[in-house]
Amino acid sequence: MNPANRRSATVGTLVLLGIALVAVLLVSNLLLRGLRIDLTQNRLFTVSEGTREIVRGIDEPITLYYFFSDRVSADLPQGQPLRAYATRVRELLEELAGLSRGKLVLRVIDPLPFSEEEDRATSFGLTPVPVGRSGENLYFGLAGTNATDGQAAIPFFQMDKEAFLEYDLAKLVHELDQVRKPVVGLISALPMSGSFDPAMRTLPEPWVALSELRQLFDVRELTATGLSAIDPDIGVLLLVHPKELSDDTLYAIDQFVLRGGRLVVFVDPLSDADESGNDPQNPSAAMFANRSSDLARLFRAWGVEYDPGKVVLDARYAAQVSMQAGRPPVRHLAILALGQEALNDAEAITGVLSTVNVSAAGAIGLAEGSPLQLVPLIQSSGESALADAERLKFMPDPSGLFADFQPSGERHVLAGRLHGVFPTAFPERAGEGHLAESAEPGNVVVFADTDLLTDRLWVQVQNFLGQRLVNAFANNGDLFINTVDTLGGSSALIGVRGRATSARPFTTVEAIQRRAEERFRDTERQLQDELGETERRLNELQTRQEPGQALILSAEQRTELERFRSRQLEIRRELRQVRRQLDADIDRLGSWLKFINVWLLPVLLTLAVAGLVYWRRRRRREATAAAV
Amino acid sequence: MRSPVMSLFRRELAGYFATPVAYVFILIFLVLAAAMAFYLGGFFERGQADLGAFFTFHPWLYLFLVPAVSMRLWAEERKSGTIELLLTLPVTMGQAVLGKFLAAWAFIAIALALTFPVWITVNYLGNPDNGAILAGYIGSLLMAGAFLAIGSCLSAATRNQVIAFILTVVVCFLLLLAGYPLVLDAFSGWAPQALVDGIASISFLTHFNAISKGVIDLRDLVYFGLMIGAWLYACAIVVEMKKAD
Repeated sequence: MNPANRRSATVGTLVLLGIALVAVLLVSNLLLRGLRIDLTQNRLFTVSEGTREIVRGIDEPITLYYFFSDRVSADLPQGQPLRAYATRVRELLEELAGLSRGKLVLRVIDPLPFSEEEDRATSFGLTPVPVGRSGENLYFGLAGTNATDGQAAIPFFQMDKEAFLEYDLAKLVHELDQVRKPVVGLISALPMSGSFDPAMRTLPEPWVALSELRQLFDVRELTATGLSAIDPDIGVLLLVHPKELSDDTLYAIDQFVLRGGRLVVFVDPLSDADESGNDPQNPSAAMFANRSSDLARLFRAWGVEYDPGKVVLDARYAAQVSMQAGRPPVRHLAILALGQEALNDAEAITGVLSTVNVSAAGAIGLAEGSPLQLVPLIQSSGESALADAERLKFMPDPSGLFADFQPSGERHVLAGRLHGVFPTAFPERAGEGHLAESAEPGNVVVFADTDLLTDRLWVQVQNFLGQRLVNAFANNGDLFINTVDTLGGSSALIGVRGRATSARPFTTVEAIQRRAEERFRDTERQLQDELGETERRLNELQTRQEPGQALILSAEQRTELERFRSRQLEIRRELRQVRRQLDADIDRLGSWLKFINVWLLPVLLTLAVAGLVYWRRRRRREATAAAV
Repeated sequence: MRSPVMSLFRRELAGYFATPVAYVFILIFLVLAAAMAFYLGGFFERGQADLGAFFTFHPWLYLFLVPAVSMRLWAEERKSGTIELLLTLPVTMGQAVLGKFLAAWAFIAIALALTFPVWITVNYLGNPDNGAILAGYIGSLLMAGAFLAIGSCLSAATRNQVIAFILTVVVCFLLLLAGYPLVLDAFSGWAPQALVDGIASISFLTHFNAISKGVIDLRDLVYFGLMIGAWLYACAIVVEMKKAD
């Protein structure tokens, strides 16, 4: 073969090789699916046991309609990441269908513009997103139907919620699998379902925790007044912020528990969402209103200790809060971001959770001689203490709470499960059908905080194209639903829920922040006191002047005044410095880490290489000298 | 007896450390990788115990640093004429290509391993998901290997190192962004959707991002394996063809 021929033959081989490579890549993309090693700690990308259990346990067939606008998205300039995610969703759905032994039927639909499929997608409540210049609708959602005309949908898969994808799918299947949702009763003194606001003339959305509960349960709201018996349909009763309940209502709850009903109580020494004292005529009334709740009579009978006048302060879990726009956030001893060590990992309710936020929570305990057991679910750290709830009400600056804070070393129970044979709180009402104690050991869960249910402590709610998008930053909602789920009997979803909170904070930085604050708060207080004293003396000096001399100051007074003013400026400057120093330790750590990572190893490496070169040269020189 | 690939691998790897160029390369790599994570990625300010800010910049770092390593692989041998010497040794063409490639890959692996302070840092600061970090390192190493295989083939195609460098940067850049409009727009007007999807699926970034989330999918492994294999095979063909020049 001559060189020219050989060259063209080689080029031909290379072209064939290129075509073969692309072809093999395409085929392998299609054929090799589902084979993956999940290296993440919580196995975020592996179908969990909980989901498998749900899918395997489907009774009646469920049909899932997966809508993805394949052709529309192909024309999108930024469509590729979306298409990659759509493939991931489809593969996970196919995997679930495979696990279901034929009970889960998957239909993949590409709803073209103006087609019947598009109408179907809309009728399922999927969210169309107009894209491109021509404004065609893009669909990327899932709808499902069961044998009894039940329907559920995920309106749009958000790419940034990939970690929650499996949970969302499992929840949808679980929802469709339940022919009848379990009934949950709710007695609440807080506006959880969004009461009409006459001032704004709006109807606020219900709290996210309640909306999520309604997806899985048939929630019946009960009015406490006039309630004398709990419907036997109700398996779990939620009692949120009980205030001034009549004896008849308390008796109904008492007998419900003794009959084997499951009760979840949320009491609070200071509830932020309590609007009972609001009076449009008298704005200050709300400030003085009693915002605590208690279940005193039942607690006494059960031997539960809880003081509605005391809140738990905790330096270890104190959360950073912004009190004023533009001011740096401060740590609040009563608003706690409770991490894993605070949550009981041996209990199904809290086992898989990682963060729960509470605000001004109380403490519960067991009195001596109580017939029950108290299993802690959430506990404060040893760096905690009890304080009067009244102090929090009239304290605009939370740093004041540090003033006389003395950790007791004792861990307080903020939420717990009561287990055992419950005695009645109404022994005198021994009539027909009256139970004096529960026939079998029962479970009651008590939370000493109601604020943990409010949106502001755990979700960000956004309005996106008319859709309400919620993004959780803590597990409060999971905690709420886990509790009802566990007591209500179904627990498969618990294993799926909660394993996917993505926040992994710098714990070291937080510890430094805590130490720095403690160290500087004392200094700050001293300087504040001195400033107060200086100002007081300055005022005194100014008012002590004779009436006739109001405008004339003696030389001595003027010097004194000058001295005071300059001292005042000085103290203010020192205070500013103290504030700045709060962050100095963290900045220093940041600079050190930057230096170590960027420069230290290169510098060490350079020194090592220089040393090596020097050593080699010397050895060579010695060798040459020896040879001569 | 040691296999010819191993002998060549050791000889080549030792060759890297015989000149100061290797140290300079490692220094630049370490400084840039850490500086990008800390200053561009805001690693410390984000306050999150993961290495997302660190791995995000690896594709762009490799885009310029790997071609700098690969450009001399064959171009220099051909220019200085040592290629004839190499091919008179008792090694096959495939063994020679593989030995050189593995040495260069090991060299980059050493540079990558020396970024361990950032791993210690993140473990000191919080409780990161070390499984996901391991996946990030595996993904990064595989991507470097693919860049290197491309660079190795293009280095064989020319005697001029600078041209080899530029060609490698261009090809790697196109393959990095194959899933993005910059590349796809050139095809979406006329090519069938299946081909456009096919081109999109050969994007380095898509596969690297998939691995660095923490999941090693067999398809991503096969992708990088096939990329490295095909480009090295092409390299052997090109060296063979140019042998007579």
